[in-house]
Amino acid sequence: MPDKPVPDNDPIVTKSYAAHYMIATVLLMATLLWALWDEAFGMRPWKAYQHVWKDRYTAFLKTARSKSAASQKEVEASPDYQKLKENLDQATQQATPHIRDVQKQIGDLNAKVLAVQSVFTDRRAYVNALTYQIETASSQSLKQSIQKDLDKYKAETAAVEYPDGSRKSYNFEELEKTYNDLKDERAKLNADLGDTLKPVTQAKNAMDDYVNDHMVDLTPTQIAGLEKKTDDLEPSIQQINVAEANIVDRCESCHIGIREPIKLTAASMSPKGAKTPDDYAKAFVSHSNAQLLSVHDPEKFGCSPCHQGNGRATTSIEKAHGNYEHWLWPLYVRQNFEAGCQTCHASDMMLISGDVGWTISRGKDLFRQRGCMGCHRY
Amino acid sequence: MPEEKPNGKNGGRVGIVDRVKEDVQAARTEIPAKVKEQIEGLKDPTKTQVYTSIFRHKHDDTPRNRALGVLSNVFLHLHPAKINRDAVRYSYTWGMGGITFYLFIVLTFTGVLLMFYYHPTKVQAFRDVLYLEHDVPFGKLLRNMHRWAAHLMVIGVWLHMFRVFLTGSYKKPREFNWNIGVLLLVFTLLLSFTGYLLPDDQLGFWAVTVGTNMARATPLLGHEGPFGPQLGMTPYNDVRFGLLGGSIVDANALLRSYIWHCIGIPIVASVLMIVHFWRVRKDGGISGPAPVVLEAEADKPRRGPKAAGE
Amino acid sequence: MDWRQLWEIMSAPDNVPIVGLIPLLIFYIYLAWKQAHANDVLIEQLEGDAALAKTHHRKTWPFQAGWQKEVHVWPFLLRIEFLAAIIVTIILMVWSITLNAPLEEPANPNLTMNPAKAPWYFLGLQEMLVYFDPWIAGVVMPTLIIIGLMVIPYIDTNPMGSGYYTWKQRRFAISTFLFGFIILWVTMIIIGTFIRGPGWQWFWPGQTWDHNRLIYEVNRDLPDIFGITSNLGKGIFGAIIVGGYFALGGFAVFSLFRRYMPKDFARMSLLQFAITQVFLLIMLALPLKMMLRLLWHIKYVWITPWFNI
Repeated sequence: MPDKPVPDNDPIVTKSYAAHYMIATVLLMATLLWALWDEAFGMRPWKAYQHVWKDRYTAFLKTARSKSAASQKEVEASPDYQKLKENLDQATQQATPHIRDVQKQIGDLNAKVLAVQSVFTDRRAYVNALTYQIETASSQSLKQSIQKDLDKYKAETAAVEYPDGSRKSYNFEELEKTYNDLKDERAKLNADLGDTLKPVTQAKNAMDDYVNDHMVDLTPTQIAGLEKKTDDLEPSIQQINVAEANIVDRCESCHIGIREPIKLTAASMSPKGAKTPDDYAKAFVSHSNAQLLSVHDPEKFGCSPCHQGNGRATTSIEKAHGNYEHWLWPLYVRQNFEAGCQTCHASDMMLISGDVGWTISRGKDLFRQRGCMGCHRY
Repeated sequence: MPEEKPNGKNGGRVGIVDRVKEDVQAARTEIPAKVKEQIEGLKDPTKTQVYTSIFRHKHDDTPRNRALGVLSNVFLHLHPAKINRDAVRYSYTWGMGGITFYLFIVLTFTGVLLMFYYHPTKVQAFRDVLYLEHDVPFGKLLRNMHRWAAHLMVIGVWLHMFRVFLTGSYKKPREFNWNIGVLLLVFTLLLSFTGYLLPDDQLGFWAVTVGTNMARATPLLGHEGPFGPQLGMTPYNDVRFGLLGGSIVDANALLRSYIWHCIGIPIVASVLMIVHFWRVRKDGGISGPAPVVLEAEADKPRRGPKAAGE
Repeated sequence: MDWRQLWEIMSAPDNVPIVGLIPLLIFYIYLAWKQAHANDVLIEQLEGDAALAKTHHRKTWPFQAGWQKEVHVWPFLLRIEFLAAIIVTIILMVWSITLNAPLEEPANPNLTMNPAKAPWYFLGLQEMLVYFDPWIAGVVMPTLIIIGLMVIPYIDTNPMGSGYYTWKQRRFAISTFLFGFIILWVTMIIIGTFIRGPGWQWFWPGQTWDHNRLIYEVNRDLPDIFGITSNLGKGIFGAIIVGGYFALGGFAVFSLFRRYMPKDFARMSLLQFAITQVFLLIMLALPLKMMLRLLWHIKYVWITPWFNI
């Protein structure tokens, strides 16, 4: 039964909630977008860090490359290098004709091998299938009958069309022999090629070693490699994961330059014209005391056993450095970095290596001599 | 080959070629006709078989369809077709029952998603929460939503109880449903309590220690309660031991907490909710706002049709 | 006045719900009171005018002839419910984006937090531990609270106020519930959250939570004040006190009911009345014991070799 007509002044049925819904929808959409933004960027500051890194490091490498190129030129101008270069030219000159000849032969052989291969491999596959059946046949008579088929097949001839247009027919045995012979010949020629090239390669290596030994910084090629690596960098969390030791260190997601082979300073990483280094520049510096890293491979040690902090944290600097309430292991202040040595070297009386370890050794001395524990609670 | 062949136009035998010609001719007329039919059919999607198999009644705005929209929908038929006109006003019910149920759904949803990233072991629990906060996609949002929805649900349950009391909606015939509600209150608090331990941090650990230490004081069943030791209760066999799976809050307590929190209590609470919603309908729906009863009329038994205005 | 301390307590992530609970409660109590007052005014009006009482639709909201008494759930209720869900979602999302759930130090059984607090919804029970032994505060009281809540519909014989807000018609029921819920439960939670600091000592808002604070407080037991020293004496004395409380209290409740709520009293059966008495007295025992402890430093009133109250 249909409802009686509704009088217009009934507030319950005539009230419109359009405005309420409008506001609520706008607010809801706004909060959802806010959540999405927060998820993609707000709590992932390392993305910004890595983008800035790409810009600044590329700019830095450009200047480094020109400096490096200039330095390399100097090295190459030296008389020793020139002599090595002469050697190389001589060796190359001597070797070139023979090399060309051998390479041509190898090329021809390759074509021949290919021609035989296409026929041989097909027939060999069939032979293998029959052989399998023989081996797994249940009765002797079946074995014999398949063997007969196999022998018949092997006796059949197949034609190989060579690249020069000639054709030749072989049975299976001959086909196999031809194939192997061609491959052997090719192997011999390759060995010959190698021998011929040896003096050339040696001379080239001598030249490169000379450059590497005499250049203080990276060579332009190396720098170009770094430039390419930086260009290819897609922002992502960089992580050192040592499961047995419960080390998960994501420090390099922001401190991306810490292990770069080239020395980076806060000044060199600052944006152009900046008076003081900003947060980004300070994060991109190289690890000081590189010799420490060579003894304590970061891939095995991570960062937090020596520096503390919250390796897993990525949402803010305070969180990552463990400088928030309830994290019991905040980052050691820069001046106290040697405190991290205590993690493993607590029993060492002296802990000095080059420039490093003087502070902590003095501290250990004082602690033992003055008897702090006598008055101060632990 | 058949003995007799069908006769063609001239009465002669019909060959394959003729048959093919016939079929091509027929295709020329029949297929366009079919195409037209199909297009006509799709002009009104609400009349297609697919549509009518899903939506079993029309949706134009008639009173019948308004009622059917609620009654024939498995999710909505929790509601009656019509309700007391003033019960739609927020100020009467405060919506707290519905809000609590909605929060329960949110908690279940976020909870299930969180379960993919959480291992209830001493070694991994704390770390997993760190991962959720820092690198699991939307992990921080999920965890926070789960925690705050839990607090809101406890508050919602209290406000709901408060409102039901103030409107006297526990009086006859709704006494039993009130009791189901009390049980739901207890289970909501227990859900929150069991979840508290799961991050395995100092906050959760000591909160649960305090809570379960009260259990050892249970009379008769606890090893520190009145008459407990006399009945042979020790820290290794009393009710606290049963709760923790041990004599200290350790790996077993964490696992038990997890199981109660994710499976045990939700199942019980869901069953109770089903009964609770069912009883709301059977006891006469939302209690009001009901017409006021004067003191003089209070003790008289109702007779005949309802008083004016009801 | 240590504002920083106050801010630290109020902004601790798990305390935010209680900070939010207080204005929420105030708002909803106001909302309920507004409607109760309107209803009470209507009731007074109708009680004074019998003719009107016969024809009035008996609600404070308007109603005219021709208006539907019942409206379709779709759309009139469902649109409200949907809107409510959206608003709750917005609140939840904003809260989740801006405030992080707490994660403190990894669990360490060897290092107790000070104070070690239960989750906020159990802080009321934890506060009771100050005044009662664990078996009462942690087991008996919560059980009685639950049973007490369950018993309410069966001891409430007042036929008025079913389905609408009112104060005048349900004074006893509402004031008892408010006392139990707001004064006891919620206030104890507030005390547990904001007042109780390290060592569960009492810190007024604005006092710094110093875990080195020392106070001088000597608690005595009631039998000791009366000079009773033997165990048997203490047991008997305590039994007299507790039994006397229930006996005298029971009689007082009976007198009050008889005098001020005669109609309700007439409606109640003996069982209903007895249950009401017992729960009422136990509920009142809590603030009494709290006062004994806080004001007169009295710890136990009944001491036996097996339990103390």
